[in-house]
Amino acid sequence: MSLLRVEGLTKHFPAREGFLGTATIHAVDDVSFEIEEGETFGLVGESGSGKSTLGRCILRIIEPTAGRIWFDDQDLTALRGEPLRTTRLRLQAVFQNPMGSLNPRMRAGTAIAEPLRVHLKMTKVEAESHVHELLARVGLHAEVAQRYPHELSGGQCQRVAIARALAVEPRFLVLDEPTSSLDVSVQAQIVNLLKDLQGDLGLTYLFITHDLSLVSYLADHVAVMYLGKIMELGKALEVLERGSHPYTRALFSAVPVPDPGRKRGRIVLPGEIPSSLEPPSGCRFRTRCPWAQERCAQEQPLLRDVRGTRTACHFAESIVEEVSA
Amino acid sequence: MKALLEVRDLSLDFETEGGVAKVLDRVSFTVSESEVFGLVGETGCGKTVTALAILRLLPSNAKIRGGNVVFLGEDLLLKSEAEMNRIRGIRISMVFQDPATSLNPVYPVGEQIARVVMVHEGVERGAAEERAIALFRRVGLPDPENLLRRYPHELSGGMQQRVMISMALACRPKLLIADEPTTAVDVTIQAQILDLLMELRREFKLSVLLITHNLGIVAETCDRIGVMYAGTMAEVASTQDLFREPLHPYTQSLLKALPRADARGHPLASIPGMVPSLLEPPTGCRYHPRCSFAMPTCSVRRPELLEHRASHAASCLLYEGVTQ
Amino acid sequence: MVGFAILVVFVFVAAFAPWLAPFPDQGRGATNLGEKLQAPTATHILGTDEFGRDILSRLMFGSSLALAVGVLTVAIAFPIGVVLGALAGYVRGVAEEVIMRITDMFLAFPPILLAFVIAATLGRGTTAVIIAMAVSFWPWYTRLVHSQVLHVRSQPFVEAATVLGLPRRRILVRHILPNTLTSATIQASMDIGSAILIGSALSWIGLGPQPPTPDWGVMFNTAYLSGSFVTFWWYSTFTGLAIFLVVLSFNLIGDALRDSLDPKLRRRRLIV
Repeated sequence: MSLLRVEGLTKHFPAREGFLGTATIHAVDDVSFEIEEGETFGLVGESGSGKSTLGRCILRIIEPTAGRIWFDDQDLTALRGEPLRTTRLRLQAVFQNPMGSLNPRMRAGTAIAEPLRVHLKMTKVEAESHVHELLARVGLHAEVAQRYPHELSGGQCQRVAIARALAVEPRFLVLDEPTSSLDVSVQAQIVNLLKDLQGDLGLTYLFITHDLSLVSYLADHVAVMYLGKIMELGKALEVLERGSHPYTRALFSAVPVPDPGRKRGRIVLPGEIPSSLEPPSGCRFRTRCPWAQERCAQEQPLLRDVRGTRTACHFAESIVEEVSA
Repeated sequence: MKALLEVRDLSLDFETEGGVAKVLDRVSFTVSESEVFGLVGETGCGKTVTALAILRLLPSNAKIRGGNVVFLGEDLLLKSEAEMNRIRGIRISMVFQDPATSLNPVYPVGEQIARVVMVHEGVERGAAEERAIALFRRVGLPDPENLLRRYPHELSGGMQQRVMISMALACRPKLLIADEPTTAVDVTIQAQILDLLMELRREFKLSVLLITHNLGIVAETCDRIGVMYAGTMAEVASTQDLFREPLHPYTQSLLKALPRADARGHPLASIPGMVPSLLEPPTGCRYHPRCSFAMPTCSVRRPELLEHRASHAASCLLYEGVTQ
Repeated sequence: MVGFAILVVFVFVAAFAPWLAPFPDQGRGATNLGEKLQAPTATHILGTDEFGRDILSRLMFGSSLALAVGVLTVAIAFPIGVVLGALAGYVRGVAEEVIMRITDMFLAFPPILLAFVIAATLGRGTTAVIIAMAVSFWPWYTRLVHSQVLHVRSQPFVEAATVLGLPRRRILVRHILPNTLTSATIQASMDIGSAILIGSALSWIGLGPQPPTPDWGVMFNTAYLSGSFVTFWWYSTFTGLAIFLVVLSFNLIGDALRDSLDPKLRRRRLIV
């Protein structure tokens, strides 16, 4: 049962170029995928891939240029005003910068209580006991409620942010690089917490990150994005370890693994990630792809089933053969 | 292997308005010639401060309490500022984390690198620009002649970092200190930069002191690794030894906390508690409050960094024969 | 802290002038022609003015007026400026363009000149001066708050508030404004001092309060007109000193506010 369904989502930003020209940043282009209830869906990509923009569109922080988002069979994109605000409660978010996502002038307890008081119309006293419950659930002492964000560590701030997101009892959580700015040991704590919460509360996660090892540990399904489009989509380990798309393979091989014994052929991609202002014609990855051919410049590859995953590459099968030989 | 850089018992304090932060406590390690040495640790462990101490680039509220930094037989801590100026950029170079802030935004990049060569080697502009073009080519920058006139903001992160590397190597130093050189760039660019560093190290016969929090990077690029915790050196070993048989409990926990595909379905081993404040560090072993092997003596006696296996040192009382 | 101490003294004096002043009647305006323009003596510590009135008493009675002018000016300009700036920054679109362009128009004039023109149009009296200054001060707050609001609204915690489904008005009032008012408040505290100074300048020219009101600017003006600064030095010197001290106190307070409010928001980072 898919909880979230994204159909043809597109987001273009107008960019002012030069004196007269109007250019567009093609942040996300015609992206479609589904997320099952209770699963963790990983969205990976480098800068310019559009993964964060996609997350923001789903949360309706920014408006998609085209496409639809279906949440629980309800069209999110069509909602406005009051119905949007109430539906919002079912999709919450945890952001990358833990301290930045908390109001520096608000105590942690007040920040967590705010949605309770605004939406559920709780009194100060009622909210207080709920806040203590939420803090306990994320592994923090009740006295943290009195602290300001700058008095807390990164890990603690992130727990407060999680508690705040849980306050409205959402079913779906968008996690945008929630542990990128945290140390390894703190990351482990937060990741464990997120997994426990998912089990206890039946949450569904959209986990946006550039950290492939994290995604290989956490995610059930993965979508790999490049320059606004999905390059490959499928079960996490299938995509990451046995991916068919050249970009997926290059990406996976580029990630340093904390295991000195493993010798892997590393595919080092030449050049830079192109600008989203003028994405390459046809397949967007072709400018850096070692296997690019004429067809790649003329025809944009669509996602199709190749060896267990869905890949957007014209020559996926032959490339795979060549590489495994 | 001849020792190029030997840091011995380096101790350092920072005087802050909140008190005295004991930022480094008897840190020791050695970087040999043509070796890549990785300095790893989490926030607050002191790895960046160590690099700055080597180059004597510390802020005014930093006070060195003891130890030596011996480079090619001479103690850098005893040198005058003038003498250090002849070492920085020439014999020891540094590449920083965020190239966008390390490059001067108002000068073209060619200008910045040419100036380095002109100042340090007394070469004329024409010759300096030739050197710059050759260096740019060597670090894989496209169209070097035109690149000279570009400003930093016109280049991508990866290209900026290559410019930084070429500046650092302009005068052929013996030691390159790279502080989180790839944190600010994407994964695929990071692969390019690391490959480049390894190539250059072979060609220029450089030693590299690579500072990072990323254990994957050190596993793939370093010969030897030093693991730091809260201002102390917890363990020093060859890369193989460190990953295969980590001695220090902190190293062990750190490795177990890394998310990996084969750990799916199991909770990650997390280290309880938080990194301690350096204003009031724990007594004895600084790791003992979070250590699952802690004994009563650990809060009293500070462990020494000793070689408990061949070429493999750790600072932990467990290996000093202490049982309680 | 020094600033605060000075201010407290002045406020105290302003409040209790009738009881503190050695010659309260003269402070209010009663003349004493027999003793006019006397240098400082034991009875008249700061000397007397052209009507023989004790200058110390006059200054004391004048302090309440000076403070009132300063505080009222800012009390009017601040809310107007802040509200407009916040609206412009938050609502954006046409409203922003309109508000900011009007603000720009006002800012094109040097404040003193603008205040002068308005006061001259409105006629004499203290109220005219206050209104004139308020009108020339408000755009500065608008510009300041506008840029701060633009900065704050792109911060993650504001996005988070939107995701939490909080109503826009609440986000503006509880999340954006508290984080933008710091600079504006610091500016306001220093502006009270500026207002006193400009108010005195306007009085000196002849606008604003009329004699026998013990307005410091008027006193300074009279000192200037009544002869050379040197011969009756006590008149201009002590009046000028009073103005100087009050303005200084507000500047010091503003500095102290900046030091205490800003570092808390900027976390000290030990790069280790």
